[in-house]
Amino acid sequence: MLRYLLRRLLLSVPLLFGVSILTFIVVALVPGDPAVRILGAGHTAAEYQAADARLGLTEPLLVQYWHWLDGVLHGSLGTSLFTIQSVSSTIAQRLPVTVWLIVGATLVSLVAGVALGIASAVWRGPLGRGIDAASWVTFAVPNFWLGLILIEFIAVKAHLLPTSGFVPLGQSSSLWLRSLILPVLTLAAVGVTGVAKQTRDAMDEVRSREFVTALRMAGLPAWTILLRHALRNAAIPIVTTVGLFMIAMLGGTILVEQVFALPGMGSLVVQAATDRDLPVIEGVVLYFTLIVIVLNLLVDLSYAWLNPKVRVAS
Amino acid sequence: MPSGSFFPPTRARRLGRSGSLFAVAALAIGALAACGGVNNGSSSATSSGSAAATGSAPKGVTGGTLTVQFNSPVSLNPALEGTSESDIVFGALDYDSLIYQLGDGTFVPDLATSWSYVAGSKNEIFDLTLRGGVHFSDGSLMTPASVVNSLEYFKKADGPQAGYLATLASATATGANTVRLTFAAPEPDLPFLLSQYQDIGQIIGPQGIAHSGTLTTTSDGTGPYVIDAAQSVANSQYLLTENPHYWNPAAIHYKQVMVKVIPDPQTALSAAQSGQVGALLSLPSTAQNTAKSDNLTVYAQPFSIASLILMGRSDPKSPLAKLPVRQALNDAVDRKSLATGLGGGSAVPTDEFALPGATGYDPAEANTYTFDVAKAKSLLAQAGYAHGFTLPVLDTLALDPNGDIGAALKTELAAIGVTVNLIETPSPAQFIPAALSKQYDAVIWPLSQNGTGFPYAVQFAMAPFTNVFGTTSTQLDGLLATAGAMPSSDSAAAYAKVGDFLTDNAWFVPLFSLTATLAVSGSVANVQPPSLQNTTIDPVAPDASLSWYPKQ
Repeated sequence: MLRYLLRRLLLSVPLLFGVSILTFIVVALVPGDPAVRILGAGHTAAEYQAADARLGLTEPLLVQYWHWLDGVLHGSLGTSLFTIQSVSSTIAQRLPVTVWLIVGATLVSLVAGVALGIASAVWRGPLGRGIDAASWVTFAVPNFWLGLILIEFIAVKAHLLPTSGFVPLGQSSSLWLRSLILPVLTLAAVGVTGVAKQTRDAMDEVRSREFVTALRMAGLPAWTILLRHALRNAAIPIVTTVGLFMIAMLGGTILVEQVFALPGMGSLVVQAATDRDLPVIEGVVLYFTLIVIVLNLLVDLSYAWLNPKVRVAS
Repeated sequence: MPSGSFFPPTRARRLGRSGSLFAVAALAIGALAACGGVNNGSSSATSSGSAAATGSAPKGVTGGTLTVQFNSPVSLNPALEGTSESDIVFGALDYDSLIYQLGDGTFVPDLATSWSYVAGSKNEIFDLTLRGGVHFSDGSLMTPASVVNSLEYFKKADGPQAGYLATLASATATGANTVRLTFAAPEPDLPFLLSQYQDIGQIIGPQGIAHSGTLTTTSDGTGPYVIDAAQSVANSQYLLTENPHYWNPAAIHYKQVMVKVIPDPQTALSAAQSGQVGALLSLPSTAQNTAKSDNLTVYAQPFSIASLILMGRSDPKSPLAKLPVRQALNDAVDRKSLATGLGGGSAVPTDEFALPGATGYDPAEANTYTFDVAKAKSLLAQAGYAHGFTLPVLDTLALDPNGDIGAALKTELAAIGVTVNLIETPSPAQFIPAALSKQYDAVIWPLSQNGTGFPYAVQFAMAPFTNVFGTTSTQLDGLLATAGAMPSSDSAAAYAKVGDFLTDNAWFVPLFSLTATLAVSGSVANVQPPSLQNTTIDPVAPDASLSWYPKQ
């Protein structure tokens, strides 16, 4: 298992390289000049060029990339062209917000999705049809629209939760939780129904196997059969679905953080892309890639935990 | 699909108990939601809409946190901030300016208690007397030397406003509390430039200048508040706490100010409606009616003029080089309809460089260009373009949300045979380099006007990216020089002649006023809308009677 982990981590290194190079190229191809935002309007082309030179942006792309890579290999992601703050400290400020958002949405998707999926597998009929309908709706509805609706009815009209903003956990645990509920629900909506559908389908498939009948005939309690045996056998496709949704949620945080004005990585990358703040864009893309790598690794490890055959094979 | 229930029927009934688990979870969430208030410490919302109250203001702190919504600052360093509204919010909260401009245009003392141009200097030498006993947020005393140091730093920092000090020949401390500014050319608008509406008068302390990197995350000014870097998150929220060294503590009414960056207008409106923020300092003008229906008090001040800037006037190859063509474009647009449809309810249509009541406006020139398609076509034919022509136009969605102005102009000019090739760019970072490329004959960009800064509005309209083909005019330069050398009390007619020149020569197609929109909840009192156009409302002021305070 350790060898497997090390191999996967080593394979991630060329992936990170590739992503960073691709990001550099894409940002270079996008029109725009960060010097405009720094200096403001009203300057000549020569003045913008001079500012670009001071920022190192007139050097060949390869040289710029090498400078950046050299910094990374020495533990520095560079500094923002606009705030002059180090990219690492900027990301350190923002990362927890996005992590809480994704962890929260994943937990909600997993718990609620699995529960609804089991329930609809057990009690067929309207519940199952309801989940199917809900999943179509949540797939079709843009998450930012859902967020605005939740804000309007739960925060504005009912005054139950705040409309926007984030309170750090260290400041107040109850306010922290309250600031995350609506964004997490917005992000988790499509995950809940997707996981529920997958759970129901997987449980239906497992239910039809002979070992379930044998366990029932052996007199085991129904909940024990359901949760300890059937669910475990149905878990791998569920975990795969959850993993895919977690990765999709990374992209979803961009819009959700804008709607709820959350100071996370999503809103950071939007601002950086608008400003063409290359060091920040590179830093955020690297972190997002690392997160995806870690998530995929966790999903693979969970397969091994759930299915002994996978452990033996690896 | 397998048939039958997973469980035998008797077991299925008992499983209803599991429903109680969900009910408990739902109750827990509901209880959590009910705990505590919705507010993050801001004063509670009343949604009465009656925010403006100019009764006697309290002296000193009477409230906790004033939470306001705004956009991301360009920079927290005044020398790098630029001419945007954010210098008024972020700059004014923590940096006093030398002079303060009231809503009616009057200049009153702030860090400077008196000022004047030296007689006979043609507005080139300016003396200031500084207020005594003023300290920076680190406790050090403000001296003439520190004011000189700050102005010199602004010039060296080469930020967006460094150009306003381009002709500053010297800044010298001439006495125990006096400073003299000497310019190489007339600078008739110095009181305005040194006010809270521009950054150069916002004095930065010596420690801040010595460690200028820190000015992007914290502050070193003499203003009522200080940025708390530890509690602030760049481009998300900024907490400013009361400055214990402020020279006029009676003017501080809130213990702290939280500026929340909420870019989405709907989210911002929801935050105000729910009481989470007390004021929205940056709303698009199109959100005015929604804000009013949310029981917020809306203030919409004309701030600039949406315009088509005809850069091709100096390109011999361009149809715009001919005056009748430029006049035709001016006659082809229905300004009234554009103002009504795109202005958000309070826009004023205009065909002049300045708005009614502002410097440079000439009532005699109003409606020089009326909406007359037949006349426009006749002018085009006269210029040899009876069949029209193609006009490449550059626009930016940052200042023209959804590209509405660009789309409207495209339709209106098509009626006279002018085919607009419209290119939209997402932000000024793409717009300005594209404009400088000389591929576009015209750009959609506001004619900017703040307070009495008319000559600077003209200068800005002739900036490199809005005058790429290098239009010059000795007549215009002469008119500006004449007006600039006159005392401000005598220059109105002279500046009106500058406006007339620009209108008659049709260098621009002004359309309608763009407003700076602000919405305030009922929890905030003493919001005083300015009577002077082209100014914005400040939450703080050097006078206790002008600063906002919590409504009791």
